[in-house]
Amino acid sequence: MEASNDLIALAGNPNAGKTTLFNALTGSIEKVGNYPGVTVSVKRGEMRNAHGKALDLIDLPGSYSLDGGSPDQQIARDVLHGENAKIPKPDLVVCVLDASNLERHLQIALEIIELEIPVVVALNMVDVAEKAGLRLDPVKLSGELGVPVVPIQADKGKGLVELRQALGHPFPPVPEAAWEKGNEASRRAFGLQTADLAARRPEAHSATISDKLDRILLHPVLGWVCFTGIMFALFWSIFSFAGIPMGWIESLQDWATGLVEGAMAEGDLRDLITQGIIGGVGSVVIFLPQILLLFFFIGLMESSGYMARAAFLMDGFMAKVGLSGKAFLPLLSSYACAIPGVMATRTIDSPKERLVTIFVAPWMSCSARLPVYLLLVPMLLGGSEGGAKQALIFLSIYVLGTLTAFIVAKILRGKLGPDEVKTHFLLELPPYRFPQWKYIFRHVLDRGWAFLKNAGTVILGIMILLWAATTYPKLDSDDPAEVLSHTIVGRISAVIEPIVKPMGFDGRTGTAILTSFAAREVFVGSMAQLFHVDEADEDSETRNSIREQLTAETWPDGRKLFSPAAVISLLIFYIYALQCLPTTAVVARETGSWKWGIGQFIFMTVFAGVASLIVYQVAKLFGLA
Amino acid sequence: MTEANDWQTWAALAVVALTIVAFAVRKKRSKSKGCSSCDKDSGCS
Repeated sequence: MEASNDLIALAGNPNAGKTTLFNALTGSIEKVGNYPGVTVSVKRGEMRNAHGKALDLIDLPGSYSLDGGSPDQQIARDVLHGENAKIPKPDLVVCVLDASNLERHLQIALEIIELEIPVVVALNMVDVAEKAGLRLDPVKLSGELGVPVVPIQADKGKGLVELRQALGHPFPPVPEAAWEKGNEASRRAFGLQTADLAARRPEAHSATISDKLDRILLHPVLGWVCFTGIMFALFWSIFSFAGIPMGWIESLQDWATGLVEGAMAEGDLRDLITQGIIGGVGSVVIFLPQILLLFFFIGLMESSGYMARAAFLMDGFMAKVGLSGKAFLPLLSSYACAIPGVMATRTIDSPKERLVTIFVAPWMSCSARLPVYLLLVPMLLGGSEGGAKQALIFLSIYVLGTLTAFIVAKILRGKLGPDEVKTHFLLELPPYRFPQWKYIFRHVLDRGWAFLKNAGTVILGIMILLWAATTYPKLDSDDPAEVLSHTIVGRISAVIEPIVKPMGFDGRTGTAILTSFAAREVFVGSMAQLFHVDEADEDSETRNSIREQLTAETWPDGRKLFSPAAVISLLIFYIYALQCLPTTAVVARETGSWKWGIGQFIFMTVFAGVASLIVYQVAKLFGLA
Repeated sequence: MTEANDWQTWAALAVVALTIVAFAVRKKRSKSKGCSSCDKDSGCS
C-alpha cells in the first residue's frame, strides 16, 4: 500500500454487502456470504476513483455499533478511531447501508458521522428494498444526513461509477450532526425519523418470498426436517455426482503409470515415480471432485441466506449447551476448515463462549477429513460408491462430531463459569438471495487449487519420504513381508503395533496414522503405499483400488484386517483427532496462549485414541471384528 | 544389481535427500502460515 494514497474504509452493519462492494471496486475475490459475520479481519485492496486516482481501500468487519464488544467489532472501532497500530485513520469512510433495513443500518452511519471523518453513504441492495415495496429517496436521505448518498447494487455492479465519482477530490466536508452527539436516544430517534422519510414503507405489508420460505424453513418441526434433508442431499450428491470425474482422474493415473513403466527399466526411481508419486499423490488427488462439491454446496448455503437460518434453528439447542446461536456460524464454517471457523469466533462477544467455541470447532468434520471418510465408509458397506446408505453413514459421522462438540462445550462451559456480563444472541435473518455464482465458482476453484497445491507439495514430499521408508534398507529376499519388516516402516510398525492393536489396527495402519499428523489427507496416500508393498509381486497389471486391497488384507491368523470393527474404529479416530498443526497455531494466536492450542491438541488426540479403543473393543464383543 | 537400476537407486536417493532439504527449508521459512486447505481470506496467514 503506498503511503501517498488516500485511505478509504468500508464500514457498516454486518451483512450490508461491504465485501461484495470491496470485491467489485478492487477486483478482489474475498469471501462473501449472505449471513452476518463473514468478514472478521481487515481486507485491503486498491481502487481508482472516477478520475483514475488510486485509493487504498479497506474492508472493515461489520459492526452494529462502535461500542461493540466482540473482537471483530473492536477492530472496526479501533480503525475508525485511528487507534489501530497498523492502519492509519481513514481519510474517508464509505458507510454501506442495506436500503431494505435502513432503520437499523442508519445507527452505525450516524455514529461514524459523529467521528468527524468525511463520509459517503453507499445505499446498497436498492433492488431488494424496492421489491419489498419501499419507496427510496436518496436525495432526502442525503439532505438529512448532510453527506452524499449513492444508491448501488454491489452484486450487480450498479451505481459503482457514481460511487467512484463521489470519491473524487475534494472529499465531502464533515457534516454538522443534526442530533445530539454522543446521545444514543437522540441518535436513535433521528435515525428512525430519517429512515421513515427516506425509505417509505408500503401501507400494507405483504408477505415476501423470504417470509413464505421462512414459515417452512424456520418451523420448529418442518425446519428440522428440511435441515436434515438438505444435509442428506448434500452428502448423497458428494457420493453420487463425483463418480465420473473420479473415474477420469483414475484413468489419468493409470495412463501415467503405464507411460512411466513403458519408458523406464525396473528400478528404484521407477518405483518411486509409480508407487510413491503417482500412486501416493494420485490416491489423494482422486478425491478432488468431492472436495469441490462440498465447497460448492457450502457456498450455496452461505450465499443464499440459508446459513443464517441454520444458526437460527440451532439457537435453542445451543442454549442448552451454554452457547448461543452466534457460536453456530463459526462451527458451521468449520465444516469447510477449522481455521476460518476459529477466526469467525471473533464475532462472539462473550470471551468464555468464544473460548469454548474455539475449543470444540475442530470437531466439526473439516474437508481434509473427507478423503479419509470417502475411503473408509464404502468399506463398511462392502459396496461401490454412491447410494443412500453411504450418505446416511456420512451424515451420522458429521452428526457424531457435532454432538460430541456440543457435549464437550457444555462440560467446558460449566467449568469456566458464567459470564460477568450477560450477552444476547441477535441474528439478522437476511432475505434469501440468488447465489452469487461468480464468487461461488471462484471460491470453489480457489479451494480446489489449494488442495492440489497441498497435494503437489506437502503430500508429495511425505509420499516420497514414505516410499523411501518402505523401501530402505533393502533385504535380498523373495518374501515381501520379510522385505517390508526389514525397512524403516517395518521397524516402526513393529514398535507401533502393540500400541495400536487394541484399537484394531496393525503396525502399517498405525504408521499411516502417524504420517497423517502432518495432514489428514496423507492417510489415504500412506495406506495406498503401505499396503501396495505386499502386492508388489502380484499381478501388477491389475491395479486394484486401495479399498479393494485393504479389504483383502488379513492378520497372520487369517482374520480380516479391516473388519467392520476396525473400520469403525479408524473412522472414530479421524472424527475426533486434531491432526492439523496450523489449527493449533491459529488457536494459540486467537486465545493468546499456547496453553489452549497445545492443550486442545493433546486432549483431542487422547480422546480420539480412547474412543477408538472403546469402540473397537465393544464392536469386537458384538462379533464385528 | 544391474547398472541400469544402480543409477536409479542413486537418483531415487537423491530425490529423497532433496525432499528432506526442501522440508527443512520450508520449516525454517514457515511462520505459522496457516493450513493450505483453509480459506485464503481467513486472515490466518
